[in-house]
Amino acid sequence: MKSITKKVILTGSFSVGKTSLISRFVYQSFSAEYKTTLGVKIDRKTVELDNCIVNMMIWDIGGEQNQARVPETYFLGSGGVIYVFDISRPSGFSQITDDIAYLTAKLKDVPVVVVGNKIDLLDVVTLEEVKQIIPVSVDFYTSAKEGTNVENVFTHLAQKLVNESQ
Amino acid sequence: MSYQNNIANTGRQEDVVDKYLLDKLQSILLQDERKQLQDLVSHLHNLRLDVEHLSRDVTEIKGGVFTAVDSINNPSQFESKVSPLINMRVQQLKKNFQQEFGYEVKETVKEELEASRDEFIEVLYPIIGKLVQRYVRYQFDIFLENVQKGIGNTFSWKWWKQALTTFITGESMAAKSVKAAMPTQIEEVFVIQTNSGLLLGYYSRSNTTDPDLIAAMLTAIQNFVSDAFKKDSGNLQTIDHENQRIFLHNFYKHYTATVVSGIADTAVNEKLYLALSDFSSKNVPTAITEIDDSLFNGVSRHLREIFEDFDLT
Repeated sequence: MKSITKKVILTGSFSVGKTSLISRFVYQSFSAEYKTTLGVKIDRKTVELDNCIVNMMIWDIGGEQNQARVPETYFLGSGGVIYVFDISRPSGFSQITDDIAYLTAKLKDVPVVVVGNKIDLLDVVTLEEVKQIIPVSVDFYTSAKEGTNVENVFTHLAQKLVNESQ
Repeated sequence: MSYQNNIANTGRQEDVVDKYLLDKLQSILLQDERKQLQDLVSHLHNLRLDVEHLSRDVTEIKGGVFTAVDSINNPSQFESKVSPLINMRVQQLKKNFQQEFGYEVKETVKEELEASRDEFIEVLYPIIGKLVQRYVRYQFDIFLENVQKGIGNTFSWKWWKQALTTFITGESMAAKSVKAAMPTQIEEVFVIQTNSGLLLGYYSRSNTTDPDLIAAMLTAIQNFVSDAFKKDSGNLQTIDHENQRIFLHNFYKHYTATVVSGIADTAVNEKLYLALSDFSSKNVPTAITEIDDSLFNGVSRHLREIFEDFDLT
């Protein structure tokens, strides 16, 4: 089976659960203890699809207030982006549109997957209400704590990376 | 008279006949009882024999008990009888100790070691320290010896040859001596795509745990340095780690990270750069759309061919 290697950027504001998503996806673990990521942390994970094996080098970038503050060099050569925001923090929603616009401008033709994390902090009714006020189209709603949809995010991106390369 | 005699005779005969018949009748009627009686007599006889045997056994046991009591009361006699048995058991234990108690002993020692780990370290630390110290001193002696040999060649043909080389290259004889004492060797070569930090090829003398991660981290370090010092044109060129030096050489769309052990000075760096530059132009494609197995394996194979026996001296 064909095997490709891609650089994937995991970005978003601080404390939205980026590192927790990686921990859940790569190590199947979760810690409630918050440790801020300094600079960048790199992990690898291989996703096996029907037609291809995708070796993802995941760059977990330390959270910044907005994407314009992330060192540009970290974005270079990215094959895909996972943008994460905290669904339980509506005050941060206003930044999402600008951030995604910035990313798509910087990384042309690179697939961006938008993820709303921490759905475990909201009940079903509140979650539906919050979904209505999110200003962008969200690809996945996840819970790194409970593992909800985490695998799907990366599998979805892996499939997009394969499609892009064909 | 004769009549009376006849009557008397006749009467006696009848008595005899009666007695005979009576005996016969008795014999017939008591036949079973008589047999039972015989059986009983036989059984009684056997019982008597058994009792006699038991009586003899009891006497013997009593004798044995008296002897045992005497032995216990007399320690030397008791010891002489018991010692051989104990010795035999001890020998058996010695022979089968591992099988019978090995697991328990191992577990106990393990538990004790874990429980008193700090104490062990405290006791062993000075000993280990001395061993390390001795090893370092030994290695240093070898090093000095090699340098001494180099200096010992003063005014020999070899020395004149080195002096001439020094004059031409500008490299000091001391540096040459040190270099000879500590051989320079390529340990690993990473070929890394500049922007993405993805590994394009890899060669290692001893396999590293995860070259992909190392390549990505090296790139992140480069990014961090250029970002921190706000200089796009500058690049990180070397990273030193103990007795190893990582040389970073930048090319068009990729860079190489070469881990070198021993003396890795400017001359080594230059030699490496020339070799890597030649390698890159021949074996690393400039327009890479996708990093797959065939690309990685191809670049890695060429790396091995060139750098496995590469002479850096």
